[in-house]
Amino acid sequence: MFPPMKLNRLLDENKMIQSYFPSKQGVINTLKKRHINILYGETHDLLGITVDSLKYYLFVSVLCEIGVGVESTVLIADTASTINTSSGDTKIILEEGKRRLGQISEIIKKYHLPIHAKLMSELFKEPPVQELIQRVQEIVTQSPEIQCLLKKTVLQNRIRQEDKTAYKYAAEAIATALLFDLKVGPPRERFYDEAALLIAKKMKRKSYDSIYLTPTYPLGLDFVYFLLHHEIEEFGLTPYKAGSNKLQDHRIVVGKTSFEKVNELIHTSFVPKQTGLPNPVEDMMNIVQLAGRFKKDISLKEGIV
Amino acid sequence: MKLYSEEYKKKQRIAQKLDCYYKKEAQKNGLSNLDRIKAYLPNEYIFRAMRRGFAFAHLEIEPIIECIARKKPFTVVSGLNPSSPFHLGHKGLFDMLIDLQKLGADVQIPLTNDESYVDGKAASIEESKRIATQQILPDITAFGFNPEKTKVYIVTETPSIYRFAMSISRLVTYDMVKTVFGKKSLVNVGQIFYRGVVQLAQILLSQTSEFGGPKPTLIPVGIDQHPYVLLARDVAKKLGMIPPSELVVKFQPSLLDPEQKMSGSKPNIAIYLSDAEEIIQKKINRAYTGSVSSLEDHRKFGAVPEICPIFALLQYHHPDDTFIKKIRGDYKSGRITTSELKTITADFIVEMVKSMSQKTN
Repeated sequence: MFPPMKLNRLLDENKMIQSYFPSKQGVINTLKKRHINILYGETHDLLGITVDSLKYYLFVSVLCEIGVGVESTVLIADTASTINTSSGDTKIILEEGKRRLGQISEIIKKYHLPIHAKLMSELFKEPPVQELIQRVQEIVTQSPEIQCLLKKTVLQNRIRQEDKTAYKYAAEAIATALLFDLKVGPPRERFYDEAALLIAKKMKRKSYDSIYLTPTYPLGLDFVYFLLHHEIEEFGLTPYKAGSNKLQDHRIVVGKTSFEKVNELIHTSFVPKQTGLPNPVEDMMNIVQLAGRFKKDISLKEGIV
Repeated sequence: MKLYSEEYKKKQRIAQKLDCYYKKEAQKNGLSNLDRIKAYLPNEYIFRAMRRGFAFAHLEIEPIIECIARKKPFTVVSGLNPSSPFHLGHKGLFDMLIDLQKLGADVQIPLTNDESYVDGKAASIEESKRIATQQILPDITAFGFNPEKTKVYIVTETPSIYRFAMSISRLVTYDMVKTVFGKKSLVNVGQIFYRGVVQLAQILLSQTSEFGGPKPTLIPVGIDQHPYVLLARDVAKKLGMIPPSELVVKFQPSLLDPEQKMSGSKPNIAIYLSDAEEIIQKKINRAYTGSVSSLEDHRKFGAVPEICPIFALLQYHHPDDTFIKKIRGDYKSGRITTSELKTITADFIVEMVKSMSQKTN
């Protein structure tokens, strides 16, 4: 439950919130509930945790901090990360999931974040969850309308892959989200959430609400990049995958990217002359401000920004 | 609340009609407006036509912007039909070519005297060549194009264009040409060959091996010429070239009718660079205006600069944005009269034409 004044301030003043699904009022109603379970789920590649993931950890922590009876979970979608990769990589990615859990736990500890992290593979061991996934998968397979929505959740170059796996990735993501009251994620997840709403209707159960944070944009690139990449301009990169669109050299990876590189990336980034255009530097500033809310036991030498 | 006169409301309706026309045509033809591009561009890249809104829509201009920003080569091709002396409608376009050249473009200007001939606008090929050589070329020279980055050629005197046109002719069927241009402009076989392939050859020439192979090309056109660009894009793809980008420009209005374009074929509706001072003043004095006939109503309601061909002369040709903004505001609010606007405009145009004539001579 959120005290009304704090809730209004959170939703009206937070520069990180881009939009809501299905509506702002829907989100407010959910946040007024006595107990709220909040989800932020992320897949991963092998390149490490981005500062953009940190934005989500910090945001769901703020929700926990100002609400009462609020529980926030960062779900590391290790099994989901293996779905669209070659079989040889599966083991490595699952191992990386475990390593990532360790790293996130470390971040949680150092920043004193009131949230917990969990592996999807652990969650999926529970029989009711397995049943839910199976039911969602069946509905997705039978509904061209839902498949059409799910196509929009991925970049153009990944559509064939999704078709091949009968949208397993999306079905699992939706089933997982249906276990929660509220989901926080990037704007592209709107298409998952629209599909989830239809699926929940078919299952005669309530769907969750969503808050979308501002898109993640690559750093160290000029205006021409954004002009030439409409899709990135609209939805941004996948925040939690450093290698999204092979732009790992234009991301800040926690504990990996040197301070010199961070400095260079920020100074060579596109800063728009008007609002409404991608502003990677402003996004970075918002993350830093949000991090400032939490007392951190960390020295600069440790390399977390 | 002001009760506008019928005359004023009629002028406003014309302004709305023109605005709707351009927006509708752009939408119908799948063109994008330039707002997104302008939002991203650093101010130094926003050239006058874009800043003042004459250039209003585009098709895939992004690669051209990339070339400008990365200092990579690109070409702008803009043909000129030498069927009449050089007028201010041409000048508006050529000012834009100069601006684009300053941003790095190589400029190609084919003087399409073959088009003048096949369309019956010149008595003979020799006559069309004479107009191009004696009347048009000196005026183009006066613009101050960078000679190293400019190619102006008379099409009938450039055999390589016809060789290239012939080599691509099998890629274009008569049905395609008929669909794009309509039967009415394809009366003789010269028109079919010119419109079907010679024009495409001019657009794509800069991408041939003679000019260093495929590179981004920009074609500034009027909205009615969009189908030609589509045909050129189609042929470019078949040739393994880069489909040309398109920048759509609003026409400079006729002096007598804001809904018609300034054209060299009717002396009363255009100002030629060869016009004497008295002629220019006379043409401006007789021009249609954006104001109402009663001075009292003009002071009360103001004018509609969007449809005023006299204001358009300043808007298209005066170099100072602040001055244009002020005159526009003063005229729109009725602070300056049409007579004052005519004097300001005539003084400026006379001086400008004089200065260009001196350069030409």
